[in-house]
Amino acid sequence: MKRILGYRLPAALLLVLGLFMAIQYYVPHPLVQRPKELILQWKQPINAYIIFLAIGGLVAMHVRRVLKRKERWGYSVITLASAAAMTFLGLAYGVQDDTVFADWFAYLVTPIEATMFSLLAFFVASAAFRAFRARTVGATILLVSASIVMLGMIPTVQDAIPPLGDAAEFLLRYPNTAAKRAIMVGVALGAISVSLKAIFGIDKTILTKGE
Amino acid sequence: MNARTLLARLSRLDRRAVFAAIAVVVVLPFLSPFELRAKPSPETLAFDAAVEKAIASGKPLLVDVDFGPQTMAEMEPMLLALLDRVFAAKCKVVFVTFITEASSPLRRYLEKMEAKHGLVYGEDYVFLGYASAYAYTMYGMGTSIGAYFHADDRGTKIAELPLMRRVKSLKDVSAVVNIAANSFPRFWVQYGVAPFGFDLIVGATAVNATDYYPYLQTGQIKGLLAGGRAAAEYEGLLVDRGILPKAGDATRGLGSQSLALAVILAFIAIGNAAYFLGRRGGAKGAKP
Amino acid sequence: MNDVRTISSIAFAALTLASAAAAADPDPAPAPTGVRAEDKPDDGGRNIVVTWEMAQTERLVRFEIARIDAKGGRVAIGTAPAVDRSFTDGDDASTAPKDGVPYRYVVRAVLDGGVAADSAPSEAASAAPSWVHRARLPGLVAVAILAAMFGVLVIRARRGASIYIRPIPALAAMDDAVGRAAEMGRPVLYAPGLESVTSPVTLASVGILSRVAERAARLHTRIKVPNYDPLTYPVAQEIVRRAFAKVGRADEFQPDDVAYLTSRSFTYAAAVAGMMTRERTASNFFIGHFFSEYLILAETGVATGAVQIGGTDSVAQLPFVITTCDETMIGEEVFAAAALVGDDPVSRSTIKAHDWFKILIIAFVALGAGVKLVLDAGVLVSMLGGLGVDRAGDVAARISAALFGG
Repeated sequence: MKRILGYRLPAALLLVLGLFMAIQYYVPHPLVQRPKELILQWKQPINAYIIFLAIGGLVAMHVRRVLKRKERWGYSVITLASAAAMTFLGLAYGVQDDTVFADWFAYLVTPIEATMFSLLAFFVASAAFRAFRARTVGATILLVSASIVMLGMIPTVQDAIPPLGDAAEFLLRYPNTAAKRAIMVGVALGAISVSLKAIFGIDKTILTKGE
Repeated sequence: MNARTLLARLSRLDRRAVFAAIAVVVVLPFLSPFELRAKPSPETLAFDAAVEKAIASGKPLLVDVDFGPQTMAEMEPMLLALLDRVFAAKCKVVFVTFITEASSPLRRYLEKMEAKHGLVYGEDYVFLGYASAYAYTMYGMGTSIGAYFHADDRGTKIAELPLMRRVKSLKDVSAVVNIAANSFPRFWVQYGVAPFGFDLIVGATAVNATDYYPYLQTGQIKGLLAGGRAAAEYEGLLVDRGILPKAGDATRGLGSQSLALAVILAFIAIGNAAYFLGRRGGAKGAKP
Repeated sequence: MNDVRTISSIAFAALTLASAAAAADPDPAPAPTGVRAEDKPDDGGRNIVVTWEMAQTERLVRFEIARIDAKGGRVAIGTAPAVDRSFTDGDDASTAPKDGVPYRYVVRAVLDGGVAADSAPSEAASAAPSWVHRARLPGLVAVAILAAMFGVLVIRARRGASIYIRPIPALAAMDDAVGRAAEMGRPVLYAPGLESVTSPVTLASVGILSRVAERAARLHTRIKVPNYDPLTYPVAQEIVRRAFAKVGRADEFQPDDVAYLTSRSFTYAAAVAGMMTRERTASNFFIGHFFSEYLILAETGVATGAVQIGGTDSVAQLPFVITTCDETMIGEEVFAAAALVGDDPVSRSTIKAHDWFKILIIAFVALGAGVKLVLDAGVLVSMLGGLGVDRAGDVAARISAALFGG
């Protein structure tokens, strides 16, 4: 029974639905498109269910940490209290724009996340300072092209030396795009093969085989 | 202390000194503002042309807003400039979002636009709200919006909204504009443009924008605003045309961006100069 | 007799008046011509495409399209802007034509001043659903070719033929990195990326995780797997648990080491950066899809002195991965590494099939570029001119447009 529920049934569903969704792209007939619409609509409530999975895992882990008094368990108390408070506020007073929930989100979460994003400016500078050294031929090419693009992005430099701006645009539009396109082709092929392996049950990573 | 020693010390500079230098040059333009005008890039001009074409068609526009608080500084000016342009031209717009944290800021922006341009909700614009399962919803909207949105963000049934009686699927819009800080434009190309063939116009962060150059070259994306600088370029175009009275936040941020780039380049130059001097000094010492 | 004469007089007067009216209007309203109706191809039915011809004029305001059914009933179904010369009946589901029912169409040109002119009705056409989307068939052919290559390679592999895949440096470095952590007595950190396990790159990443976790288990080393996606979390936990059980160290597995943290990217970055700093992880693996927060993770890892191995399909983050990691897997190499970890003929065959397919793509790109160069350089024009073809330039331009579009 465990093998059927844990492996055979999910593998069968994966095969049938995976193949169907691949084939429907080439068959516009309503007999095929109507089931496809139904399958797409089912994705939405399934997505919503995943949120409960996440919350359950998070709460369970932090409760365990508090009960066992693991290191820094005080932070787990804060995490649980914050999650409980926001859930209560949302359920009790709603999540519209003029509620406490929305205010806490706008005045706590939003500035914190904006601050974290701003850290990138500093990390980019330290990464560039450390990494852009002309140690090898490849590193030198990287250094020169990055310098051209950065200089070309400064408006005053662009006005003073127009060819620099043109060179920066050339680098972004041709070598950069060509390399990205090549990587994207490879990634697309890799994605096809991983998906086919999953659909045909060759990749057993996500199926437990009833073990 | 000679130049070589100084450079050697500078090349081993504590990263906190680098952070401090960046902090100073980013804050400085806000204390002592100076305006820089950026020459519009071909991608920004293509964005502008695509938006104008969409407006000229007379059909409504679909705008998908997919950025949160983290990228607001870069994406908000882009979105506000676009909204000022389309609403000034009396273009009807349907809004949607596929990330939860975009709903609240978008409502605020729309309230501001409603007051500024005298808009009527339901006739001039509709906000459909947040939809999960983005790829499936994008694909589904190509045939029927009503199947995925039974009511709008305010809970009103779609059938009761005058604008939505005209917009039944993506075939009824002139273009889709995706202002996104994530990789959703790629999904719009995959699940929207490829099967249904509408015009897709994109505004993206500078980091993500380079991913979309291939799509721009093949015509799958009709125009691209690449980051804060491109937003400043677009603001400049709208100011020149008299649509915006003055440049917005993107132009104001260009000063900080330019100074920060200059400082990073200076540090790179110092690091490389010290590296090469060190190598030459090491080689000299090795000779018998 | 008098009645006949009266009727004749009236008829004559009417004719005279009509002729006079016609003569008086020097510019009669132009009407659309050549109206054609056809079933829209490659669709699910209930769509008919109506096309017509008409010279563009400033007087034109719009077109109004009407549908006539078999009983002669005429229904207005929509309008088209003055610049359009086609209309799809069926865009509005409430008035869409029924499949299999013949309809004819009339296009009315509305000009300024309220003047309008109707076209002659089109020939009858009926809508029908298509079983095959012909425009998408090239994609199906490409997938079929890839699948055929894959099939040939699997058969060869199962018959004992060896399939060479070049070594991926990052894979060899993984074992060394885990060994380093074991020597230093510090944990390993494995971040499987910020997309769901339904995404191919995350599937590949959890495949690599099984190998890293097994090596960590053998060396009695803790492996911490912070998760961003709630669906990836139970999969990752199961994989690490199985890895420890496989080497007989199930009791050393700590469930809380594989945890779901948060689904907000910068919060995730802050949590993982804190984890790296506090626990001084000796080796960090960043394999999967990352967004802007990647640099915060990686730079923190560099600051703690950890060895870092990265791999991503996120083209935007690749430059950051390369500058912050000791070994990098670029794009497709993540999928190749996952296949090599499996170390079975079928997995290796998929990678080899990629390589064969890419050679085919390169051949087509080279062919297309070569043909375009020939066309642009005027070689074809010269050839056609030499063969005595009239208007060789136009013929060459049409060939170029047919091949390359635009």
